[in-house]
Amino acid sequence: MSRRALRPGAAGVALLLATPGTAAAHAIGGTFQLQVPLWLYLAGAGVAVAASFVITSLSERTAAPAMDYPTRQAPDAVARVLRTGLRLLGLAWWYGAIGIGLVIGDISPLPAVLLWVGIWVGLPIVAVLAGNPWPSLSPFRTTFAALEWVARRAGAARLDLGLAYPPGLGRWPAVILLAAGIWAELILPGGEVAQTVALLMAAYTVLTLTGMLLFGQVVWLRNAELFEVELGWFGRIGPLARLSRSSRLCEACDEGCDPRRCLDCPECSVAADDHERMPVLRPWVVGLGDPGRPGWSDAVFIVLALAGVTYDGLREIAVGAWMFNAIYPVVSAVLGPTSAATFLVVETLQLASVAIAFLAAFVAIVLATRRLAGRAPSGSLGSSAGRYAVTLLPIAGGYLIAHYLTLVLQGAAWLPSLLADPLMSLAPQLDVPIVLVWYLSVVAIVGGHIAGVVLAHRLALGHAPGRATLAGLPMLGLMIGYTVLSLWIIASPIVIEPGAAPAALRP
Amino acid sequence: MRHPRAPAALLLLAITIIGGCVGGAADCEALPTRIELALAADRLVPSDPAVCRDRDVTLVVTPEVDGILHVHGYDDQLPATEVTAGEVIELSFSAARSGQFPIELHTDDNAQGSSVGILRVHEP
Repeated sequence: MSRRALRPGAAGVALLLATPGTAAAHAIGGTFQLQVPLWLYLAGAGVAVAASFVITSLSERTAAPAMDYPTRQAPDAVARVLRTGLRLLGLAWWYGAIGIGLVIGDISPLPAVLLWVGIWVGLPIVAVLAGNPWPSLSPFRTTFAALEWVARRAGAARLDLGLAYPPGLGRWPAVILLAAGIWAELILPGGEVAQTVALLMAAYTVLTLTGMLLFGQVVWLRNAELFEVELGWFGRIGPLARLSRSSRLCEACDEGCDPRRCLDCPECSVAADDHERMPVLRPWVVGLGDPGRPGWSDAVFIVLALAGVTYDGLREIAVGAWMFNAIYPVVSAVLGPTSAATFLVVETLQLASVAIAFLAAFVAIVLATRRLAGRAPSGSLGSSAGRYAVTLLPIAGGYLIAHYLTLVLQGAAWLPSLLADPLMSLAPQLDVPIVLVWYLSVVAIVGGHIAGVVLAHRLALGHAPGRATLAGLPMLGLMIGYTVLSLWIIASPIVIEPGAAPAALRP
Repeated sequence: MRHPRAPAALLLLAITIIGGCVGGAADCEALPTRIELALAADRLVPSDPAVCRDRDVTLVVTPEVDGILHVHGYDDQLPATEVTAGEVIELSFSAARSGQFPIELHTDDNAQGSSVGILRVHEP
């Protein structure tokens, strides 16, 4: 039995692949013949990232105060309408997907499109391009607020039990949930089947509300609610931020946010009522300049998010087959050559290998950075790892756009007809030129890396004054390497080298 | 810090909306496991054969044209198959995945291929 016979495929992607004319690049089919060899593109992208390091090193020689950037307040009326609209949308979106999955079920792709395409990859892209919509959209916040309202009417002083959250636990629950989510999206057999999606979402709802009831809303949302943590990080790239009206709200905040600005502080964002925060506009990416006090769990979370999307790309190309062929013989000797468990274990090991390789490379880079800083490094290794991991977020954002934007666009185009006919509607074919997909990928990936280089240099200026350029070299190496790797992954299924005949015409 | 006011009403409204979105699925017991299909250059009759997951299925295809028949997304269970005008061919496979899968025909005139129908594999 071939490998793919038992392989479920990425849930969202599988849906859209089962439509006429769709192939690689997730939703847009076809290939594109390059004008110059691919290696020139890859080298050019690497040089662009290196050049941005040289320019940044020469132009920024002293650490600038964090959060030094202009903001503009968005009109209150617009914010109010948007907030109410998002709350309604979030409830209908989340519970609607569960309801449709359980009631209609069968072959309806709607729950999977709503979860895997809409929430799983769509919202991080929205957070990167616009800002984090989740604090308003979150069905868990709205549901919990509704439960609190009921409890108050019933005479209860508070809804949650207020159990102490173990201080050493950090955001590890969110890390575990992210790993489980990536596995469910990419490996779980039948992960795109309507009823499975509904059950996953229902189970996550119960888990989240239980956590909020036990430990309180603020603690659970900022440490364990996967989407809150993930979109909180990606939302720092987007230009739309949330500003607490009163700096007092952030004074007791554990996150180390600047109380004078109190912008996008995860804890304050959760703790503040709607009327206690307001939306402001700021330039892109600058929100990552004040990441608070990230630690090991944040570092692992961010690196895992990056490894997840990279694994999804790798398995579409020859590297994925190579990894499979390396692991399969060992597992098949134990579990049998055609057992479903064999393929499940092999794929899980592939994902774990990519994640461990990414983590090992990242930790090695952080260690080298601390060593090159020259003196006894300030702060723990975990603190350095957390802060440098934040500089990877624009890279993850760029890669998300390059890898998934076409899938999200096709999902959005499909939604109206899917809502009208959740069972039989077929995905429409989008006529987006593949050349456009390629150049968008180049811009998103190179742009993300350049932003990462600048952020990492500013971090080094604070940690290693006088030696920032030297201390920045390991991260630069990592970023150039990942620029080339990610562009190659994106390019492999969609580009044809100059002069080469398209696969369909080869003898 | 929190003083929730309207969320309960929003939740009720959302549940009402969801309540309206109900329907029915296919009856797997009533679906056949052997389906006869007529294949022309631009269409399949019937165009949307429906089966159930985990069943052994046979498609009996009567082609009017030469070409290569291919069920997109089912290549592992049902590899692309050459068909010849007038020669009935039986395609047997195990329906391992549920969903909707385009049936494509590639001919000499249209090497790129075009979708002639949809195979629907329902959940049992």
